[in-house]
Amino acid sequence: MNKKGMSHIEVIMAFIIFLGAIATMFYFFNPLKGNSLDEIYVENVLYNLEKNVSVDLIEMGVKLNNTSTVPASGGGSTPPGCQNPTPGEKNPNCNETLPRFTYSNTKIGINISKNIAENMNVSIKDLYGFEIISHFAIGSDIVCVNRDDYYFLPDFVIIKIAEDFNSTLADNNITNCPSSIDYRDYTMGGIYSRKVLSEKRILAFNSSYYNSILYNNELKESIGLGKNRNFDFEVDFLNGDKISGKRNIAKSFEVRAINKRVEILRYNGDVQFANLNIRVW
Amino acid sequence: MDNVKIKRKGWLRIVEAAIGVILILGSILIYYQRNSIGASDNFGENLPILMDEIVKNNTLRGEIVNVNLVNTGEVNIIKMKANNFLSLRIGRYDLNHTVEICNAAADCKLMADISNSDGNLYGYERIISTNINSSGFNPETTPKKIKIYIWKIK
Repeated sequence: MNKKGMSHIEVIMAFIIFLGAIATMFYFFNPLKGNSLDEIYVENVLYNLEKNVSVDLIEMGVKLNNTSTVPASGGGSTPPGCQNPTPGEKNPNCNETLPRFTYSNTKIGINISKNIAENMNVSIKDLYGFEIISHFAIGSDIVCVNRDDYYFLPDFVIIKIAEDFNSTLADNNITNCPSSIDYRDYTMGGIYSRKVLSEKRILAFNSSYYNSILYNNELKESIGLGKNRNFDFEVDFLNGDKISGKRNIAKSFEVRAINKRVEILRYNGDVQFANLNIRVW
Repeated sequence: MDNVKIKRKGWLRIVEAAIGVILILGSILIYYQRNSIGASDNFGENLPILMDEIVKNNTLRGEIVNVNLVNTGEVNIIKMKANNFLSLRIGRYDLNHTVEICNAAADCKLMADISNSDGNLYGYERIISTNINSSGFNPETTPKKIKIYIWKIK
C-alpha cells in the first residue's frame, strides 16, 4: 500500500517539476513573444509610410462674379430699362432680378499669394471635377482664367495648390493674365488645407522600395521596420487603378495586415479616395 | 533491488512522456507561429474618411441636403444610395452598415436590426448644412445630420 502511494506522489512530483521547467523555459525563451508582430508595429509602418508619401494640398473655393450687383464700368450693352441700375437693388423698370453686369474684364486674375509656396502647381476645377483652362507660371502668385476660353464660365471654381501634380489645362502663358487684378471679378471663399497622399510620391517610393529593400536597410528603418522585417503595400482606387508594391511572402512567416481608406492626390490634380493595404512580416 | 528497478522505469517513462509533450507542443507552436496572418481590424477608424467621401460627393450631398424628411419613401431611397455608396468602398462581407439621415437637431437613432452584431457598434455623424447649388436655405430644415453605423457580423 505504502509503495503504491509513494509511486503516485513521485509521478505527481515529476509532473510538477516538468511543468515548472517548461514554464521557466517559456518565461525566458518564449518563442511566441520573441517573434510576434504586435499591432502597433504595423500601425507604426502605416504612420511612417503616410508621412513619407504625403503632400500639402490647399483647396480654395472661389466665386467668379458672372453676375454682379456692381455696375459695369464700361463696355457691353445694357438691356432696355436697366440703365443706371442701383447696386444691389432691383430696378423696377428692368426685367432682370439684378442689374446685369457687363463684363469689362475678359481676363480674370486671382491673387493666391498668401497660399502659394515655391514649386507649387495650380489647377482650377469646377464643382464636378472638370479642369478649367488656366494660366499660371510657377513662382507666380496670380492664376488667371480667360472668359474667351469658355462660352459659359462656371460661377464657382475650386483652385487646387500643391506640389506633385501636373495640371493638363494650365499653361505658363501669363500674357493671358490681366495687367492688374480687379477684385470685383471674384469673391474668395473658404480655404481648406490638409495633407493627402501623393500618387507621384507613392510611385517613387515603390520604385526605390523595389530597388533597395533587399539591400538597403535605411529605407526599412525610415518607415520603422527592423532589419529582419519586411513589408509590402497596395493602393486600390475605386475605378480599378492600382499601385502595387506587393511581394511574395514565404509561407513560414507570420504576417500582419492593416487596411486604411486614404485620400490621394493624383497626377492630374484629382483627389481620389483609395484603400491602402499594408502587410508586414 | 526490484523496487529500485521499478522506480527507474517510472522516471524513464516520465522523461519519455515529457520529451513527447515537448515535441508536440513545439510543433504546434511553430506551426501556429509561422502560419498566422493577423489583420488589424480598424474599420471603425475608417468612418471619418468614409463620411468625407459621402459629403464630398456633390450628387449625394445635394440629395441629402434637399431631401424632405417627412417623405419617408424619399428618405429611404437616399439612405439606400448612401448605403450602396459605402458598400462599394468598404468591400467587406463580414461588416454590415447602415446610414441614417435626420434633422440636424435630432439624434439619428439607429433603425436597423443589429441582432447579428458581434457586440461592437461603431458610429460617426456629421451635419451637412448646405451645398453650393442649393437654391434656398432654411436654417430649420435645410441642414441635415447624417450618421453611419457599422458593425461586425458575428
